[in-house]
Amino acid sequence: MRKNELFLIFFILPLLTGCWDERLLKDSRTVYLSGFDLDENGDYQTTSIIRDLNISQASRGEISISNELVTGKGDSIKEASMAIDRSVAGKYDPAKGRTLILGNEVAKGDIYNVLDSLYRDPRVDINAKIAVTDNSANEIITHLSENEVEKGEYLYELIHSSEIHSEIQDITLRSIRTYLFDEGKDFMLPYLSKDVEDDEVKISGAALFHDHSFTGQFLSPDESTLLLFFMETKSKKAILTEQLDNKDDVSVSYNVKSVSRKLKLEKEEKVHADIMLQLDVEIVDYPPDHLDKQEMINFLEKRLSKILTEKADALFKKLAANQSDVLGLGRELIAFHPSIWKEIKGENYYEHILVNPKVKVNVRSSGIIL
Amino acid sequence: MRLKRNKSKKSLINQANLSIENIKSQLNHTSDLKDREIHSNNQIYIILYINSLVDQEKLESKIIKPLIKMENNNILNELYSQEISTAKSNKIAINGLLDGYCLLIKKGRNSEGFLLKAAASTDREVSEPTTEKTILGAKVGFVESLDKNIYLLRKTTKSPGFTVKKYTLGSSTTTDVSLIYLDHLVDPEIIKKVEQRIKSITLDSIRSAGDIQDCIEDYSFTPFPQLLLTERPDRASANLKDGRVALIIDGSPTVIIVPATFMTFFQTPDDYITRWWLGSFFRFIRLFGYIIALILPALYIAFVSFHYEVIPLELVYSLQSSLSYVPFRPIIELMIMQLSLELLREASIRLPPSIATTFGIVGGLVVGTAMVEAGIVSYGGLIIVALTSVSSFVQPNIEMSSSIRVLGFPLMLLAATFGFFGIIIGVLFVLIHLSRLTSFGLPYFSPFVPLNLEDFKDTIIRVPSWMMYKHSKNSPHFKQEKRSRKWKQDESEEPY
Repeated sequence: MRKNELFLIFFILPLLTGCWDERLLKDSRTVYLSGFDLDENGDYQTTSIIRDLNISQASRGEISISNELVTGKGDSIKEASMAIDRSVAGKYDPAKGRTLILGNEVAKGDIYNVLDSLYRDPRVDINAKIAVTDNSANEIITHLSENEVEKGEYLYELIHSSEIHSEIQDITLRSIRTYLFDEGKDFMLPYLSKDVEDDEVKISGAALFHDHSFTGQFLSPDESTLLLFFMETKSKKAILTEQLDNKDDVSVSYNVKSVSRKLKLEKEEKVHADIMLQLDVEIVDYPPDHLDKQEMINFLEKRLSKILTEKADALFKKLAANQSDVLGLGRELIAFHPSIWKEIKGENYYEHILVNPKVKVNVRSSGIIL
Repeated sequence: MRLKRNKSKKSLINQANLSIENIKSQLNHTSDLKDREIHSNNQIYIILYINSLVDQEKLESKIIKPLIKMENNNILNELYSQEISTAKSNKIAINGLLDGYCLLIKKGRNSEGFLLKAAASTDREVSEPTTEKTILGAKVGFVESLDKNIYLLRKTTKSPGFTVKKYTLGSSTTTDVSLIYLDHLVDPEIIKKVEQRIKSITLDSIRSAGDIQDCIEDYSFTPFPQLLLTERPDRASANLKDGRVALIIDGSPTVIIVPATFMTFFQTPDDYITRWWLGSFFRFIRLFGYIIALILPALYIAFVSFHYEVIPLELVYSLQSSLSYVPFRPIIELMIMQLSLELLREASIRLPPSIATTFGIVGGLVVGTAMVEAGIVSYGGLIIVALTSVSSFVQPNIEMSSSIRVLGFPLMLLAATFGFFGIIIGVLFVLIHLSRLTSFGLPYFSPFVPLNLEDFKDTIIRVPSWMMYKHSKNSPHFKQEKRSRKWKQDESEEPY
């Protein structure tokens, strides 16, 4: 008897469920790129590309790609996406959006206002990349929808390859949240711009953030690579080129194999951060050669160390000017010098920190020819 | 009226005296029952036999001829028949007649008769089994004759421990069943259980191995077979050597092996003929195929109706473009495909092999692609169903591979209602069920549940034979010496 009742319950239960969370793939309109802007009235505008692959009825098997550009406006991001949902056939689904673009205006405000609705949706791809653009996201996306139809995940691959070359910090929708809510650490996002000459979207550097918003300044790829060395988070490849002599036009390219950083924090009048960076490099391009001679190596090491130290000085001045603690010195203080942190903590704690970088280059390898 | 007649018949059978008239009336004066009087040496003999069961040639040359020429009256010495026994009651005589013996009675002395074997034999020649193919295994399969099957087993299993026990089953028509085991390897508990279960069979008649299987298996209401049916003497013999028991049914080319565990169905003779790492690899492939065949359709349904965010981006678009032409839900789409495939499979069994190939091409390829073109199913669904059926064919045992096909449907339904969650619940149910099953008291899902690492040597992987010196827990009485590769040690000690 009990068995029969149980059986009945199990049989009927699936029929009684009121909200069935089935989402059929064929009914959904999957987004592959979204951008967020803020217009003059303070309304959010979401721009998305919905990609359709159509098998043409006449000749089966022939697949044609078409991009559909959709925009929606609203007081919040959710309202804007609801507006899009109403305007497209099928269900608007951001689950496959692998890249998010923040318009300049949005980035300069509190970017968490945009990200909040994404975090609350369990279907959003948490490994999506985020980028900032120099203009409006709408413009970039419109451009991409017209020109990059056949290129698949163009923007995602673009950002990803920059990460591999240690040009920008590896940041996803998931990891950005820890930076946003860490009081002692800031971050940088890829900075997109439209190249007028080539008519192509490019990464022109790394946008510096302070707290929740874009500072308006960005680092060039060289600078951000150097900063990544100081953060000890470089990828496998990090090739830099320096001009050794202004007169002779001799330059050297080298790949940084490994980095080691020593950080010393001291409180005097200000907090002094002495950073000693050791780079083990491999020379990959140096036409004058003679790398078999110790003097040559010594010369290169000395010269490169000097150039990089100067560059690092300039870099940290730039960071200080923007109050952007990408290096995470605040986090360092919280962890190891809580007493110092107590004195300086606050919105603009970076003002109290003076960074004194020093770079030492060791040439370890010179390729397969001597 | 009829009841009364039966009763009177019974009393006649049990009558001690042998009477030709009685025997005739009990066999309903059937017209193929012949009798013949022979005068020899001043005696009159009567030979009684069933015409259709007896080899005329044998009867004439081995029984009648010597009988006529006989000079003294010692029948046992003079006749050439293979088997001679005395029949003292009507019952024994009738059973003998039905087995193809002929009854020889001296006229006037009704108390005693002789049963002489002269049975006709129309046995098929031993040939390669068709359902369990191997690459390198023996090209020998069981046939329909009980004696020949025992012969085939004995030839591959030479041991004084080889024991045959014969049972006659069925109350209205009888069938001979032989129980075979190696006495020194088998667990006496299992023999006791098997005997007990066989004796308790009270079926009217035994049609095939399936009838016996139904009666003696531990659980009837499970898709998993607990007895191994095989057509291969080498497979049966290997199982005997593992301490299992074989049941041979007269008239059936399938032999039942008990007890069988889940992993028994994944072993084939080929595993032991090829080198061990190859055997292990194939066994792994089989297990993998089993899992694929079980959950792939369900996974596909869950993917396209609940969790398409886990599909890689490029695949999403191509799946979507093909799916958007299909008017049905994924579950209906796959059901249509699966059912039409089952139809094809069932139909191709009945066809002669020459047509079956053509049929396979027309049915599989043409119908499949046409269905996609017509928008009834999608490319994705077609691929999934094709992969599933290929995977299910990897399983060497038909019974086991059918079990996956049956289990696949409820799993698909669960996936269509609850997505991944449903699949997990379904698979969990299957695993719990498997762990609870037993085969003749032995855990069915061993060596996984209960976990027995020692037994992994011959389940998921097959280690080299010399490493299997400890026998599986199913037969704890036997241990092989760990000396088969002692030559290696000896050789390295040899001075050069």
